[in-house]
Amino acid sequence: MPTDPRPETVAFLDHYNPVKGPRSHVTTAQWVTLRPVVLEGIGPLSHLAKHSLRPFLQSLTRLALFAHEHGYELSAHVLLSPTLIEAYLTTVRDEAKDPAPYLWRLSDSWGLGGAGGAHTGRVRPDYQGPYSQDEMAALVLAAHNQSSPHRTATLLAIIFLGAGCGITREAAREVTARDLHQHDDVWFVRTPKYCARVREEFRPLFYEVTELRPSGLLRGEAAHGNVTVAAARWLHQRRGVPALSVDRLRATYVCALLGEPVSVVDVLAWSGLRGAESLDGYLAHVSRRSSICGAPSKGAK
Amino acid sequence: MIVTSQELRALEREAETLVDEAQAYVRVEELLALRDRRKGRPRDLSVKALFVALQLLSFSGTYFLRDVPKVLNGISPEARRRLGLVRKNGRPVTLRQVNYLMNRIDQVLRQEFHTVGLSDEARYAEFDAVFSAISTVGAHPGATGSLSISIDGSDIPTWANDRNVHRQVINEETGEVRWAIVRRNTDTDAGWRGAKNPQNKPALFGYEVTAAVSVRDVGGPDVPRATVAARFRPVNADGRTTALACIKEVAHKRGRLGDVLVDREYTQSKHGKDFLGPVRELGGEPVFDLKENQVGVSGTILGAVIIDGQPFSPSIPKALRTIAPPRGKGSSTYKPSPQELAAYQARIKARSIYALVPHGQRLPNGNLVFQCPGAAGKLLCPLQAPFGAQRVGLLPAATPPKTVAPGTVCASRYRTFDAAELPLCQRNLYGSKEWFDSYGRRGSSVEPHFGGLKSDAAAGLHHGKVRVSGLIKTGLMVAFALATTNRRLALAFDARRPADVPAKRRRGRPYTHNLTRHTLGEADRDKVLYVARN
Repeated sequence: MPTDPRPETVAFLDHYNPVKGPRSHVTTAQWVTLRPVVLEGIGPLSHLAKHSLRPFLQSLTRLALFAHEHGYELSAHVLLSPTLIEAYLTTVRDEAKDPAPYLWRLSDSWGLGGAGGAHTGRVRPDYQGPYSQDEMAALVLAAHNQSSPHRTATLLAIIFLGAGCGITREAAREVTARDLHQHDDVWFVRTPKYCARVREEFRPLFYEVTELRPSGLLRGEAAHGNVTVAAARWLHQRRGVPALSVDRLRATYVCALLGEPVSVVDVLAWSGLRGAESLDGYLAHVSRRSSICGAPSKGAK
Repeated sequence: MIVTSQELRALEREAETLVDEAQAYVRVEELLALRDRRKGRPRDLSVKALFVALQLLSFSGTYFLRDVPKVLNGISPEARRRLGLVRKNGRPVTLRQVNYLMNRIDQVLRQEFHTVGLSDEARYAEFDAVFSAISTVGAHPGATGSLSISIDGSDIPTWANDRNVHRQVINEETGEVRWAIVRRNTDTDAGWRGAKNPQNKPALFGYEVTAAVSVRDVGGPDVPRATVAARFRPVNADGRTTALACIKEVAHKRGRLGDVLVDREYTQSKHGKDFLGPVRELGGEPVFDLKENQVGVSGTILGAVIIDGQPFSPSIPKALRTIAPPRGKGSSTYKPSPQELAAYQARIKARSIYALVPHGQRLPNGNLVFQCPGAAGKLLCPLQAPFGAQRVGLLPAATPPKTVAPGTVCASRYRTFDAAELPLCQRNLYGSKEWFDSYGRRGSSVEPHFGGLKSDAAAGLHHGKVRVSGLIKTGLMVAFALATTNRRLALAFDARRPADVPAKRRRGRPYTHNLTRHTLGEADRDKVLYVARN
């Protein structure tokens, strides 16, 4: 949808210089090199108001700096290619503003394979919908591809405690590697109120986490704020990776238990649910067995 | 400070233990016995007694022969008995005896020095055995806890001199006596290093001691510093040959070698046949810095671009091919700026994804197998798919070749390189943080070891302390000084606070002497700066 550029935006772009910023990340010499490609890349969005353009410019300048440092050709097509953006996003840490939505929108505006409207707006997630197997695999893969071992360990711990043990956010806070124990050949994780059974397929993940973080809290500690919020931000807007939700991880665990031949009492005990009515939300996602049908059996009243 | 007689006796016993441990006196006595054909009184002063006295003198940082009689006449009666210094006539040990024995030792150890047609190793064999045996004693037992060594040389100026002087000379034909300018050299063993030398070192007339010092292995526990092999040569001798002799001795003693850390003086050649090749043949893994002419692109082999001695994918962008390392040279500081160093390491890290990945260890014939970085899953290359599952967020190859030439690294996942093709290839990429961590072990091992050798706090062997001439006599003094350094470093290692014990918290006001000031010269005035404390 090409639109004519706004004159005030064009004037703003002509004088834009990130070196003058209070916390500049480029030097004057670097800006001289990067300026042409930044202005070229931002071109399709020059119909926006100048205050709307700032986060795009900041994200694009940082991406251009990254590409320059890695020896790439400084052209908009190379810079805004999805592979380069994806690679850049894996290295981004502690940014005030997540550059992902801005870069994807720029990539889309250049017609370079962005996902179009998929990045705009927010869809209210279904908190009780379990992750599919592909989604779980994508989450684990994304956890392994983080910019630091700390992030990898934290994400793997959250996935293990959520999908492997069904532990809630509060209960998971205090879990350490020493809380894993056995009752009659079955592995459990101790929480303040109950023992959560560990799904067998998640035990390798536990060993991986304990190798990365042998002591202290299994999920680690966030410098500021909540661990899970920080972890969700690390995976935010990653292509092919679903948003990280502890509720959905727990739903994955509960639905997996409901699909196994275990009693409801065990499911309630292992998942820490208070009553069977709490299972209602999860039952919608559990495939019912064909042998259970609505028709009353013969002789039933 | 030694004050009591018990302490003096303990020191005597310690010096005797070191001499016994080295067993060098046994070999010297054998050589003396073989050469001794002189009739006359039997020699009263034994080599062991002389060596114990020299070791005791070295403990106190003195190396004057005239002090040897004082030491031997002043030691305890028990020690005198043990050393066979009890004479029937009750006469003390004299300087004449000491000088005589030193001269005799000098004669027997230099028998092959001037034999034509022998290699350096063969000519100095007897002296090397004695020198290395003495200089490696006194080490902490933990010094053998690692396989890695660090090699370097240190200047030892001779007490003698070599200069032009005015002398009266006689014309043999006419008998005429006249004044002439002649060259007077009082130590013909010593070598000259002129002011214009490739290493840009100061001019020196004297010797060089080359030592192999123990270094912790990468990721291993700290080990005490100690000399594990040493050689003493004129300063103009080839340092690489001397260093190789040390490495060979360490390999022979330990059975195998780990990392061999050396500075750029030993690895100047691009072909590596003079030093790096022989070290690898001995089983060592050289870790070394590169000279300016070795940095950057040096050609292509099998399609791979050779940068800083390592093979890289041909898809590497030109902007990353030559990255000049920061140097302190040319600036007013010894080390480069930490900011420049961090920027350099970041660029090296950005380039590292294009480096061919070593596949396994070196082959027995020294060849190296490398994997394409695309196949290894380090970057996205259209010519080589990753072998395993593709990671999310891989960087695309910047300039991949459009066509695949047969026989190149792009045509196959793995490619074998001949050892001679990659002489400057190291385990860690040159300039990377891992390389700096590995090479940094050199600065904390052999350099402070030589510091201890010449510091008054340890062996105190500096110019003016040794007042003998010749390679043998000076070398013996240096060997005892190295043994003293080993002993001091071993004592210091034991006195360290263990790593698992927290530092004792100091109470009260911080102790500061207020004498440190950071200034910056501005407009002919020193402006006082306030530097950040952390």
